[in-house]
Amino acid sequence: MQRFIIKKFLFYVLTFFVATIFIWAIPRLMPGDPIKDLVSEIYNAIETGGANVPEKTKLLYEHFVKKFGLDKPLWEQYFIYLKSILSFDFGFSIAFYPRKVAELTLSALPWSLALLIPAQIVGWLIGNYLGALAAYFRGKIDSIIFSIFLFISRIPYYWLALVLAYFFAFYIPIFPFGGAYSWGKIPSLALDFIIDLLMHYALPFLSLVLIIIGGQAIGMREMMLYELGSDYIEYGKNLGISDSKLLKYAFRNAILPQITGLALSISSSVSGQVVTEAVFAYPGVGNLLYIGILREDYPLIQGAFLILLIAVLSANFIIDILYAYIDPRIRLVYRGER
Amino acid sequence: MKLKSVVDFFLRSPKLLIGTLIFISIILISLIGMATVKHDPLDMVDLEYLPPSPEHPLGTDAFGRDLYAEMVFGIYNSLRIGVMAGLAATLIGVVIGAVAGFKGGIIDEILNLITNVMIVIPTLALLIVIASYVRIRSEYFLSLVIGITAWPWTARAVRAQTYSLKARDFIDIARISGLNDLEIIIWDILPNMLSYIVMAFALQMGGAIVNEAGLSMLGLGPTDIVTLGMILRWALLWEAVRTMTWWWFFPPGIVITLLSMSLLLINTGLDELFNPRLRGRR
Repeated sequence: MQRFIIKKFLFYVLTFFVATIFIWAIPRLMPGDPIKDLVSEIYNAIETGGANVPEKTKLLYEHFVKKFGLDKPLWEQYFIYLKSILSFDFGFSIAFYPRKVAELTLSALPWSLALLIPAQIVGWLIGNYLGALAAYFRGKIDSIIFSIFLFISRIPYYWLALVLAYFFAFYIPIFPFGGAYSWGKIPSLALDFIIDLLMHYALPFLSLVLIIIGGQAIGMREMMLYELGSDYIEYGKNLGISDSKLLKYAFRNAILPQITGLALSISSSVSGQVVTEAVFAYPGVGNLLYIGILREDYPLIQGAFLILLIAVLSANFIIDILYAYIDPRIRLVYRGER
Repeated sequence: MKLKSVVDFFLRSPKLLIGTLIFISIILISLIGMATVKHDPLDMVDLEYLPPSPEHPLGTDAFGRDLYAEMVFGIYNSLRIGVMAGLAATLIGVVIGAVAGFKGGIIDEILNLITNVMIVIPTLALLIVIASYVRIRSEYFLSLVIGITAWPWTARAVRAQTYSLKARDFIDIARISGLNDLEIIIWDILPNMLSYIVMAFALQMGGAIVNEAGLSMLGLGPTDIVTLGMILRWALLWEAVRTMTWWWFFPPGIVITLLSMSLLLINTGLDELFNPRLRGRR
């Protein structure tokens, strides 16, 4: 068991490093010379005029190359970058200067997690239940439920956010639109603040949860149909075992791959959450990413990406461990009992 | 005779039939629309915020642009990006999957590790980081970037297929007749899983259309053309929800959903036809 956990842990650490290499390499692979741009921008701004232009720009250029450490060999540049990341130093945000990126992303993370985790769990539970139900009924009911879920699961997160906002914040104004709580309210544990919070929470939550339900239900239905059509169920039927008992057997086998499905669904719904948060101006990491794009705030974009990545990797790791405890095959193999 | 067998092929799987019908209808709407709209879709043609009317079937937006014209051109451009990105993703996935599955050993271990690493990284977030560094984004650039981040699923499926094909007798015969690895992969392995590759492409194309729209909506879409995502982008920026101009953002979202759904139906429909294990299981 320990071996399994260590193996998985190393895999996610490796994934993190690969991602940091991407983040580090992408700006360097892009065409153009940012230092040259910077120098010419500064030059235009001060407009000294008539002075020894080429020499001064050259000096300025060399100064910045040194300052950003670009005169060092590539591998050394990467390790400097890695060191700053591991000490959680993503630099200053441009859009929110003089606040630091680490501080901004860390204060946004609880908001994102408060949206992601409940949506994921609720969506997974309801989706699997409905999927199993559809497979159980078969026939007409199944094909109707299936078509509805198929459509829902293909709705892009960002569009459902717009539609829900339109219907429930403007057409029938039940819920407020935008932000995590009303303007001017001060976060506290007072009842009216909590109600305000929940009212703002409802629409972003719904737009995530509905799609997760659709996707999980489709997957579960497929798994259940596969299990119900397999030999051991046929054998059980011939032995005269009751339907409800057979259904339970099939369900237990079908739910296992769905736990892996939960991990995969987290990666995709984190992507969806970025846009959902942007639509609702919900103060999570996704919204920071959006602000970063609008303001061309690269340190913020990088920091937000890395925080999201760490969240996704941790979630995957937790699910892997969970899975190992639940799936008897892994449990037994790693305990050496088989 | 030939036509009849094609019809039979589609009739055998209702999923494939429905998926193909939806997909082709959307393409036709776009093509017919493009042939009839005589002006640039981004021209201001009337007053702002006009609801749908006979003159403007989908109304106008905050700039007085005809949304019907934007839609038909947007569908066409989104499909183009979908095809290009889907091809890129499928190509990369097939190459990596086939090499990993066929070579086995350490090469397989490494390629498989890379594939698994790429699957865990949230795609859209990675796309955002890449696209944000480029100020002028062409549709080719976006297709390539979307393709580069989307291939792992295809690689995984192709690897598994290659694995099982590799053990067949005809591969041994090919080896005996002196073909090298590359020739065997190209002439013996790939043709035998052509159906899988087509299926993978359908899925990749659907995913690419959705991802393009997501990127565009966040402001990282193509800079010079109208796509379904760009229409949503403008609707978001100019507060279409707040101003209750539902005709601005409803049609693009519905079309994106239908495209993605029809491509999934085509994928599962083909799967049912080609995969005897699933046949007859409704």
